[in-house]
Order: sequence, then C-alpha cells, then structure tokens
Amino acid sequence: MPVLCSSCSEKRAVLKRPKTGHSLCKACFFWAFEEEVHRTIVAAKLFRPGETVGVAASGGKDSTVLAHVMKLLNERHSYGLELMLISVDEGITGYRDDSLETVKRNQQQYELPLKIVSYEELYGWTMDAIVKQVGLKNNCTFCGVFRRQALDRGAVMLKVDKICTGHNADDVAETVLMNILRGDIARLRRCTAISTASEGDGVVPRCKPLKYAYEKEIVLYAYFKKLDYFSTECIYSPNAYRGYARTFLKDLESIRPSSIMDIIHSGENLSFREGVKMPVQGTCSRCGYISSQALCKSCVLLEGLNRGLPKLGIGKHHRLHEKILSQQPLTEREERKLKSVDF
Amino acid sequence: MAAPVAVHLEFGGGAELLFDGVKEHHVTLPSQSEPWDMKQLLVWIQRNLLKERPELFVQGDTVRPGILVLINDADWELMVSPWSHVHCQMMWGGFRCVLLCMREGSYGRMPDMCNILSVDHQMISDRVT
Ligand SMILES: [Zn+2]
Ligand SMILES: [Zn+2]
Ligand SMILES: [Zn+2]
Repeated sequence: MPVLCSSCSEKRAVLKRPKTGHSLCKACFFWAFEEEVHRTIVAAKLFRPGETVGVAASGGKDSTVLAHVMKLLNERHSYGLELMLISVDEGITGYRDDSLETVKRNQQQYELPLKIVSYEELYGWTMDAIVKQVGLKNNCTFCGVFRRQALDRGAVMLKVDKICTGHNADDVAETVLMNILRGDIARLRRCTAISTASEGDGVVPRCKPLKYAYEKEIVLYAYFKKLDYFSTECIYSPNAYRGYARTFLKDLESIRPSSIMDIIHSGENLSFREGVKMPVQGTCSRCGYISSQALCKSCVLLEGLNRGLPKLGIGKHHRLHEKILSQQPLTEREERKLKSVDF
Repeated sequence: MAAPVAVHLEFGGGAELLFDGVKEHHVTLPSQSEPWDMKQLLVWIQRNLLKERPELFVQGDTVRPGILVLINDADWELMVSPWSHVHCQMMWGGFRCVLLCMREGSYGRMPDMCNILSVDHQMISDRVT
C-alpha cells in the first residue's frame, strides 16, 4: 500500500508536492527542493561571487530553512558568498529570548557568523525605553515603523551587500491578494519582485530566494531534516485583514494546489496603463531610507523621542517636519501639542 | 469488534497551542464495532484533547486547510483512498499521526510585540511591501 517515489521508483514516497503533484521520497524531495531554489537564484541572478549576504534570521521555519539551504547551495554550487545570519533584538524584556536562543543554536548548527542588532544600536532606544517615555497607548506606531526598518538599518550597519529574507510563495501570493483588495497599485507592482534594486546608500538590496517555495514544502523540509526552529511566534491574529487573506488562500490551495503559483504569476504579469500615477519615492534626507516625505517616519519618531516630544510622528504633524529638519525652534504651542501623552 | 488502538499523536508548528501547549500525546482509542478511521480519530481528538477554538483545527469533517497531516511520517495526501478511510490500526508498528500547523500566525496566541507592550493594539504590521 505505500506509494513509491515517482522519481527514483525505489523508496517510499513521503509527500505529494503541491506544485507538481509528484510523490517523492525524502532524498528525492530534498534534492528537488534545494535545486529549485538554486534555479531561482541563478535565473534571477540574485548574487555575485564575493558578496557578503545577510540572511535575515528570526528562528522561525522560513528563515531557518533559508539559512540551511543558502549554506548548502553556497557550498554545493560554489557561489563564493560570505554568509551571515542577522537577527534583530527589539529590546523588550523576555520577548526575543526563545527565538534568539534558536538563532544561536542555528549559528552553531550551520557554522555561520551571527550578528544580533539591537534597537539600542539601531535607534538609540530599546522598545522598553520607548514605552517608558511614550506610554502604552502609542507605542504601536513605533513598533510597526521601527520593525519595518530594522533589518535595513542593521544591514547598512553591518555593511553587507545584500539581505535575503525567508518570504515564501504563500507569503507572496497572500500579499498580491491583499494589494489587489486594497487597490494598492504601487505595492502590487513591487510585491512580486524577487529582489529590490539598490536605491542609494541608505538601502541594501533585499531578495527572496524562497519566493517560489510552497509553505507546505518548507514545513516538511524542516520536519524531515529535523531542523531546529521556533514555531510559536505569531504576528497576525486570525481576525486581522491578513488573517482572512491567508485563510482564503489556504482554502483555495486545498481545492487547487497550483492556485498559489497562479496568483504569483498573475501578479508578475500585471501591466499598468501608462499614465497611472505612482507615488513618488524619495529618500529620507537623514538616513537615506525610502520615504515620501523629507524625513522618514522612523527619523521623525526618533526626533520626537530624543527631544522629549513623543507625540511627534504619531498624529498628523507633517508640516512640522520641515521645521525640525532645518533645526528651527518650535513655538510653545507646537511643543505643548507634541508633549502631552495620554496613558 | 475492533480491539483498542494505541495511537501516538503529535502536534507541531503551533497547532499544539490548541492543546494546552502539549506536543506529544500517547492515547488509546477504545474498542468499537467498526475499525477506527481518520475521520473518527479527528472527532475523538476534538472531544478528548482539544482545549480551545475548534474552528482553528477542523473544518467540516476534515482538518482546517493549513494543517499538514503525516501518517507514520508520510503526507496524508499520498493516501489513495479518501483519507477518512485510512484505518488507524492498519499500519504496522503502531499508528503515529503528526499534525503540523503550517502558518505560525494562524493561532493568534503568542503575543505580538505590540500585544506585550500595549493594551490597545492595532495591526500596523499588516502592511508589507
Ligand atoms: Zn526517490
Ligand atoms: Zn504595535
Ligand atoms: Zn530616516
């Protein structure tokens, strides 16, 4: 009754691949999975020999599989890359303990250097310190904005040439869906790209080598390889917008496994009518990060924190940015407005 | 009469959070007139082990999409017959069933950074480029 591997016809199959419908044994699955990532890397010319590449490591399944496969392919196919694990520590007592422990074990298992960049180093503030100053009600603005930039700032600080992240096919398909539902043309156009172009000194290019890897295969790869990963960090609640998109996608996949690939291809092949206005993407004049304003959101928030005006950047105070940028003094009224914090 | 069946159950990838965080369960299914199959096993799990939010675990009479099922370390999607007819005792050397949640985000249990810090949390991290 056991199903035989459709590739080697010798061993017992352990999974049915969602992408191809093939039944594969462990060894044939490992090989197929790894070589597909290799083909993705080669086809998109993601790396050049001699580059230093930071692997974003959270200790979760995607980044653990990514680190493992990058290390393996770098050796198998002589990419000539200098690999390094990069983790971010937000500085919240207890919050990162488990995931950083996992990353530290990964470092030893894969023999890769690990750099943990802390919010303290990146921003001069830990999240705990921010909460002390800002109170509990407003910090959500801070964690969203700071988290989005942390990896980029860390990569600049560590002087890596590129960062790769563990985004998989399901993540990409889900983001395509969400951007369609929101009518976000600019993001829709960007979200299927396998890598971001380097946009000046402030931004290190990012890429997603697992872009075409199904989540199911990532989970099974980690399971059969007995990779050590941390599985309970959860960012989205099922009732959040992304949660619905995710559930919808999983429902689609259970009816037709190729739908994940189909959605990615749809996203990649969308063309936009000429003359569709795109928001102009400038860069922050202080840190060089992509920003539509003169100062990026996190520099505004930081300026507020450093000046003891924590509300700066939380509400709509865009017209004050110019003033701050040119170091002009604020009026008393403006100061008062930015100082008050409701706990 | 089918004899009682010893089953080794394992929950992972976050699915264990619906079972008080316990990953491994060695259980014995009582004897009954018909042989135990996967569909009945799922109902049994729901009645006897599941601690909360069954909607995150089952959908209709099968597992919720996004949960992988491995039977004696093989993907249940390989089973030729409808999986509900996979009989629990037909596997030699015992019956081991692993249920892995694919998306660590699915259970909303482990606190987000914001949840730890803040009382009125809003989903800012939803915006991904
Ligand atoms: Zn094989
Ligand atoms: Zn938050
Ligand atoms: Zn900036």
